[in-house]
Amino acid sequence: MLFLSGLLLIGAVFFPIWKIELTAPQYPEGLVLKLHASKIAGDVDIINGLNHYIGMKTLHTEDFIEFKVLPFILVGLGIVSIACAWKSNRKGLFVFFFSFVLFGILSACDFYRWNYEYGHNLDPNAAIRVPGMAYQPPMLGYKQLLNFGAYSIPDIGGWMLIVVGALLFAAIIKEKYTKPSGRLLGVLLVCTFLFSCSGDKPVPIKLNTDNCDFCMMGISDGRHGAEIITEKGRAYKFDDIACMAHYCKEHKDTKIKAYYVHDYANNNELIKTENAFFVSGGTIKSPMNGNIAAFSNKSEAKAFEAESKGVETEWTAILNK
Amino acid sequence: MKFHICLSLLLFFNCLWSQKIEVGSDKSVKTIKKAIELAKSGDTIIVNKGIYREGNIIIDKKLILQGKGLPVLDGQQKYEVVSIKADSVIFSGFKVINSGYASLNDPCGIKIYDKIGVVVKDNVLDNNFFGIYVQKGSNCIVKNNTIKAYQKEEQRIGNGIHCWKSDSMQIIGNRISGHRDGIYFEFVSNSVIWRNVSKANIRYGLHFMFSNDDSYIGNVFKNNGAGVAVMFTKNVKMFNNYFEENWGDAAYGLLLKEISDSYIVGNKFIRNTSGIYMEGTSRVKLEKNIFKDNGWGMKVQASCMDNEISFNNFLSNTFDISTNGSLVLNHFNNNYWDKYEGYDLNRDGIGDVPFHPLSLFAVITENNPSAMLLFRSFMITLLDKSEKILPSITPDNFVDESPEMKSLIL
Repeated sequence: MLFLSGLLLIGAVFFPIWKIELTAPQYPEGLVLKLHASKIAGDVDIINGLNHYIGMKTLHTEDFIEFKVLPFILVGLGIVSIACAWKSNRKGLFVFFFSFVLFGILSACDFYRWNYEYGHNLDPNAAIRVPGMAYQPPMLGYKQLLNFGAYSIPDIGGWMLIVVGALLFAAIIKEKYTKPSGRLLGVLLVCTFLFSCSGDKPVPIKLNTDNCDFCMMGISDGRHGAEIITEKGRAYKFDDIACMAHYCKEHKDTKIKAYYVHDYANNNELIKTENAFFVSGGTIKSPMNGNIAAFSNKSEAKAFEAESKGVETEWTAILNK
Repeated sequence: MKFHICLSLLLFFNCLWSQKIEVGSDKSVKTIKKAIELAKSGDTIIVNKGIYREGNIIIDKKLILQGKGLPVLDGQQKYEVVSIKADSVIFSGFKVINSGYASLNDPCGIKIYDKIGVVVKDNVLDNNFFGIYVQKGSNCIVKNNTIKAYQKEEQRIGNGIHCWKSDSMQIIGNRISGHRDGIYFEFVSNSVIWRNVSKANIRYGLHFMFSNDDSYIGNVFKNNGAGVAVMFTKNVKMFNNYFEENWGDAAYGLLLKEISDSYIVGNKFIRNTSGIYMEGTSRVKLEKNIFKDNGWGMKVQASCMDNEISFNNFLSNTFDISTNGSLVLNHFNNNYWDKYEGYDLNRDGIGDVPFHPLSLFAVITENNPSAMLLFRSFMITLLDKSEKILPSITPDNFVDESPEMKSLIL
């Protein structure tokens, strides 16, 4: 693991570590600044041109002492890491891990400092002046600067460094517990990534293991359940269609991408509410007294309506009850 | 004395008027259905040993049905086996097996329809969809039955004892396993659940909703999917129950949701993921309980208020208490916390330093469950210690001002 992280550290020198993307209507393709270990790349000239209008200093690689030092630090760290792999002693590992974290924190601070300086140190004679406006790009994430949206995210090299951090952490865990293997951790990491950005397919409800996110009950009936998928791709599961409606009422600010309900006729099969036909009341009995059944097929719904003496119900009515 | 004589005379004459009908393969009456047809209100039907496959047996007169040598009533997985549709029926000593399965009308082993004073006791129910189902009953007794089912995880299965819109029920000394919920109450009031053992059910050992003014005393809930769920209910009394071995990702010994004005006294919560998980709970007295060997002794969500938690023992739980809120409106007094490290200089048995039962790490993991990775690491221990001395992140009013020095004898 350490060997791998050493290679990654050295590799990070050859790839951009961080990028700041600027999007604006007049640049549909967007502009990008790529920060390498040793230089600034990307659309530097265009950005410098823009910066000139608002009185920001222009960016030049040679202004930054960091770009001279950083490659050496990275390579140095890489060599130390590989040496650690050879030697494989615990203390070294810990020292190395903490020094790496320290390096990360220092770089972040430094990056912030530069951002701040560039954003706030404006030429008072600039062509465009907005009172009280600073142009400090975000350190991480998104920020709106005038008509530009600025994204600041790690680039290939940055991700490599993050992986190094994770690997080292895994190595330490392994040293300490010798239980979760690095591979497992890697798999877990990948899994969490995959999970956090799933599409809007419904996540199957595991009967008798999943709990309702509104009433906390275990979901054991595959005929009355429901599920929402949020814009962020999270799934919330419910044991009763009424629980879903209640949940949505309580969390009005949650942006919901899709609503699903169990098809009453097919055990534990989720269908989109847009294509479902609802029957409620009568002798229908659901876990939390919502007493609603959903069907994918209109004739089935009609037949069940007669059988249960329920009434046909609209989805919107259920949601706004 | 006079009264007693009158009563015994009455009973004596009553015996004279009521008759006994024997059912058996070697008797003149071969089927239970025939016997019910022949019987008058108040008669007794004795059913001898044997297997009776009579489809749906409907008891629509005030009769006493008694099994002799555990006769078997087999529903052949097609019928509701016994339907009780008369007041004051006594049904005892039968083995009821193989009711119908998973259809709209929830077929049962034994079902009571809107009746008063029915007694179902000393029966064995085996492999039924619902065991004993009481619909709009009152003053009924369900006693000493053994109820088993063998469902696979995924398939639908009903509850062991299911009471719906009933009143003044007595559920006593039953043993239930393998159903969805061992005992299920919905809209049931003024009832008592006493000395039952509900084990290894798929969802809950006991589950009740909208059931006010009931008592649950001396029951054992063990090894269920999650122990007991109590929801949307007022005036619950839970005394001397055992909540044990409810392990699992979201399992708990006792789930309280929207509960108020209740008493939870003298219970034992042992080896559960969370002993008690409470949400939207108010004005509940939790006294003299034992929380032992749980992951979390209690999870008190931010929506809980005015609960009094006193004279409990918290022993060897990973976390005694956790919460997701910052404002605490509950009162902790005179509990024994085995994590308490204070001293007692004046020897009054109460620690001189208040105890903050909420560990920093419990709060952190409540918000970031994955932080559990760092549990027992040096750094976390250090943080926890410093937090104990100078509370900054954890709510500082989350405190037991008078922690006991010795564990309470309960």
